[in-house]
Amino acid sequence: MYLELKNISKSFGEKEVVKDLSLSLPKGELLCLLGASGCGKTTTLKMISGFLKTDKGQILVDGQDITTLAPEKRPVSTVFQSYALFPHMSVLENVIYGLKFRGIRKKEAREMGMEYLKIVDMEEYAGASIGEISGGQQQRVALVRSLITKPKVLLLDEPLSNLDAKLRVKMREEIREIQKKYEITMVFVTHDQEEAMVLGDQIAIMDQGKLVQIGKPEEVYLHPQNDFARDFLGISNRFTDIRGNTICCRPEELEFVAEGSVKGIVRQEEFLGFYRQYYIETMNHEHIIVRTDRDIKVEAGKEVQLRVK
Amino acid sequence: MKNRKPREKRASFYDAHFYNILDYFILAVLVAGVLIFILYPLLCMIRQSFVGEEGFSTEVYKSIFSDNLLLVKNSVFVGVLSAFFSTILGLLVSICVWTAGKKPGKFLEAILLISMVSPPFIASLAYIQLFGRNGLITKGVFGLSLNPYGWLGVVVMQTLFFSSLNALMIIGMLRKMDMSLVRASFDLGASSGYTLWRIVVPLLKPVLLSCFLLSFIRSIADFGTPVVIGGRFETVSTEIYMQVIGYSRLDKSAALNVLLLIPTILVFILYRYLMQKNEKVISGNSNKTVEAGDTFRVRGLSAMVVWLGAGIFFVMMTLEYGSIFLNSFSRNLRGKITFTTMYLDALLERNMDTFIRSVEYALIVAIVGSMIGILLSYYIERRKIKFGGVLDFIITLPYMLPGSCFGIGYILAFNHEPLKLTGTAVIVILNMIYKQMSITTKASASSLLQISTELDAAARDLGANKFLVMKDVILPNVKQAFATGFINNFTSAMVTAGAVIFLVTPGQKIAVFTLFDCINTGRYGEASMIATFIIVITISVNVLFSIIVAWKGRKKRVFRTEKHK
Repeated sequence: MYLELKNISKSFGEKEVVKDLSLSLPKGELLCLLGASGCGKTTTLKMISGFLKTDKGQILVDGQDITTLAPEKRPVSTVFQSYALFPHMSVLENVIYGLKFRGIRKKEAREMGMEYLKIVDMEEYAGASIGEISGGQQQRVALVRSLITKPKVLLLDEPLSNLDAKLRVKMREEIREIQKKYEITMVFVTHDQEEAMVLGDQIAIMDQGKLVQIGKPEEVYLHPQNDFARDFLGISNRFTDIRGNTICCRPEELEFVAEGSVKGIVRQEEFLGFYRQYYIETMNHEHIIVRTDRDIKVEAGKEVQLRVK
Repeated sequence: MKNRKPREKRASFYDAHFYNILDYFILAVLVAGVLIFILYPLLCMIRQSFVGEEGFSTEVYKSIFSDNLLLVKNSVFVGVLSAFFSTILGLLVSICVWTAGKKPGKFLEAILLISMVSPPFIASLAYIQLFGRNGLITKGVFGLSLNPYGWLGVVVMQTLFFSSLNALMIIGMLRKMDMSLVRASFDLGASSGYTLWRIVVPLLKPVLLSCFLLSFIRSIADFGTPVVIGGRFETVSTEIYMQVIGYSRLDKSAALNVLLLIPTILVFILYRYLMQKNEKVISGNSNKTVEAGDTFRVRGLSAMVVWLGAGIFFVMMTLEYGSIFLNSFSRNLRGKITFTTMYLDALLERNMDTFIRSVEYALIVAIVGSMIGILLSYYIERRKIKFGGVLDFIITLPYMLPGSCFGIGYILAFNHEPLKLTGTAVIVILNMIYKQMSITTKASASSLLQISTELDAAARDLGANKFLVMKDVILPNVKQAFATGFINNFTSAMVTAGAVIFLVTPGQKIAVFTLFDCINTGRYGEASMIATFIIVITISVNVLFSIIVAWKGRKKRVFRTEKHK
C-alpha cells in the first residue's frame, strides 16, 4: 500500500476528534474522505500533511514512516480550501515557489512552471496577479503549485467548496482527468456525496472521528455496512412489510405494483425533472420515499402497493 | 373595535413623527458639534496665520519657510530616523510577540500596552535619570558625566515610544493574516525563516508603510520629547511651543503650525489609501481560514535577529519603567540610594486635587466621547447620510494633526463671544473629546459592520422607525465599540499632553500638565511619582471597566442559556 494510516488518534483537550483510524490506499488511486462537518476528516488530512501531530498511530507513505516529520519535509502537498495563493506574487511565482527548496535553478523552474501551467490551460496568465484571476483559475493554480513539487500523495481539502455549482462539476472533471493521466495518489476531503461518488476510486465514510466504511463507490452505495453509511450516501427507506420483516432500500429500488409487499397512501407527489418522487405513508404509519420514472404518475391521496425491485 | 382602530393609528403616526424629528435633531446636533469643535478651530488657526500685525497678509508666509529652514530640516531629520527605526523595531517586536506562543505572547503584549497608558515623555524622564549628568547608569555605574541632551536622545526616545504602538498595529495585522498562506509555504517545503521574510513580511508591507508614515507625523508633531531632552536642538514643534508659551505669539505659531499641517495632510491621505489596500492584501483570498492550533515558530538565524531586536526593546522598556518606579520611591544622596516616601507625601499633599480633576475629566471624556462617536458612526456608516465621507474626514483630522494645531485653534476660536470658553474646564474636555473622536467612530464602524443590515430592515419591516431601529437594534450591539471607545478616550485623556498643554490654565492643572511642568523644572523625583500614579490610575480604571463589561456579558449569557432549557 502506498499511503497507510495505522490506528491514528487525535484529541483537542477532552474531545477526541479522530479515534483509532486506519486506512490504506494503493498508488495512483483517489480516495474520497467523506463525512459531515466536524466528523474529523479535515483533522485526518492535517495529520497526513503534518500540520497536526498525531497523538497515537503511524502514517506511512511509500513505506516511509512520516509520522514525526515536519510539514516541509514530508513528501505530500496540500491544495487548501482557500487555495492559499500568495497574493503578493504572480501566478508563475506562486507555481514555482516550492521548486526553490528542491535545488532547482530559477530559469529551469520558470520553464517547468510554464509547462505545468499548460496542463491546466493557464499559461497565458503566468504574469497575472492572483487578484486578477477568477475562482476557478485560482483553483487550477493552487493545484499546479502542489503538483509541480511532485508529491507522493496530494491532499485536497474541500477544494471545490468555494465554486458555484456549474464550475464545481467542471473542475471536478479536470481534477479527475489530471489525476488519471499522471497517476497521482490523492486524498480528497469532501462533504458532498455526489462529488465523492464521481471522483473516488475509494470512498471512506467517517462519522464522529471513526471510519465507518471504506470501499469502491458502488460497494459502499449498494452494500452499506450500517445505517449511517446508508443514510449518508443518498436517501434510504426503512419500513416493515406485510410479513413483518424490516426492509431497508433506496427510493429508486421501489416500484408501484398491483400486488406488493407493502401498502400505503400517497401523501405528496413531486415532479423533479428526470424523475418523480412520492412520499408514502404505510399502514403502520411509516414513511417511505419512492422515485419513479417521470412518466409514472399517481395522484396524491391514492392507495398504492409497493415492492422492492 | 371599530372606534379604537383609527385612534391607534393616529397615535402611532404622531409617535413616528416625533421620533423622526428627534432623529433629525440628534443628527443636526452631531454635525454642528463636528463643525464647531473640529473644523472651526482649524479654520481659525489657518486664518490667524494670514493675519499679521497690520491686517490680512501673506507676509508671514513669505519668510516662514526661509526663516525656519533649520527647524524644518531638524524636524524632517528626526522624523525620518524615528519613523524608520521605530517601524523596524516594531516589526521585530511584533513578530516576537506573535511567535512567542499564547502565554508569553500575552505577557509581552501587556508590556506593550503599558506604554500605551503612559504619558509620552516618561521615556525621556527615565532616560535623563539613567543616562543624564547624574544618571544612575552613566554616573552611578561607569562614573561618567555625559551630556544627554541633543538629537540622538530625541531619536532614541521617540523610536522607543513609537515602537510599542507600531508593534501593536502590526500584531493586529498578523492576527488577521490568512494562516493558510503560512501553511502553504511550509507545505511546499519552505523553512520558517524563508516563510517569514518572503511571505509574512511582504504581506505586511502596507502596514509597515502606514507605521512609518504615522510615526513620521507623530515625530514632527511631538514637542514634549525635544523640549525635555532636545537641549539646544530645536524643531518646528518646539518652536511652536516656545512661541505660544514663551512669547504668546499666536500668529507666528499659527503660521508654523501650517508648516506642519501641509505635510501631515499629504501623508495622511497617503496613509488612508494604504490602509484600504492593506485589508485587501492581508485577507486577499476570498475566504480565509483561521483555525485553532495554528502556530508559527521561527528558528535559526531569523529567530536570532527577531529576538535580538525584541530583546533590546524589552530590556529598554524594563529599564524605563523600572527606573521610573524606583525613582518615585528613592533618593540619590551623594551616590547612596535610599528609600523615601517624600515624593508620595508631596503628591498626596499638593497634587491630589489635580489627580481627582484629571480622572473626572477623563471619565466625562470617556462616556460622552464614546456616545457621540458611536452615534456619529451610526449616521455615517449605517445610514449613509450625505457628505458622510467629508464628515468622516473632518473627524479624523484632529487625531492626525499635531496637538499644537488643535490646541492653538481652540484658543483662537473660543476666546471671544459668543463662545468664550478659554480658561474653563469645558474647553479642555471638548478638546479631548474631539481629538480622539475618530478612534471611537472607527471602532463602532467595525462593530456595525458585523450587525447585518437585514436586522435594520427586519426592525423597520416590523414597524420600527429610524429612531427605534437605532435604540433597539444598533445600540445594544455596539457594547464592544463603547468599551473600546471608553478605554481609549479615558486613557488618552489621562496621558496625552499635546493640545491640552496649551489650554490648561494654572488654576485647573491636570496630571499630565503637572508632570510636564515637573520634568521641565528638573524635579525628577516628583515627576516619577506623578508618572507612576498616572499609569496606576489609568490601568486600574481600564481593568475595572473591562471587568464590569465582561461581568455584564457573562450574566447575559447565563440568562440566555437558561432560557434555552
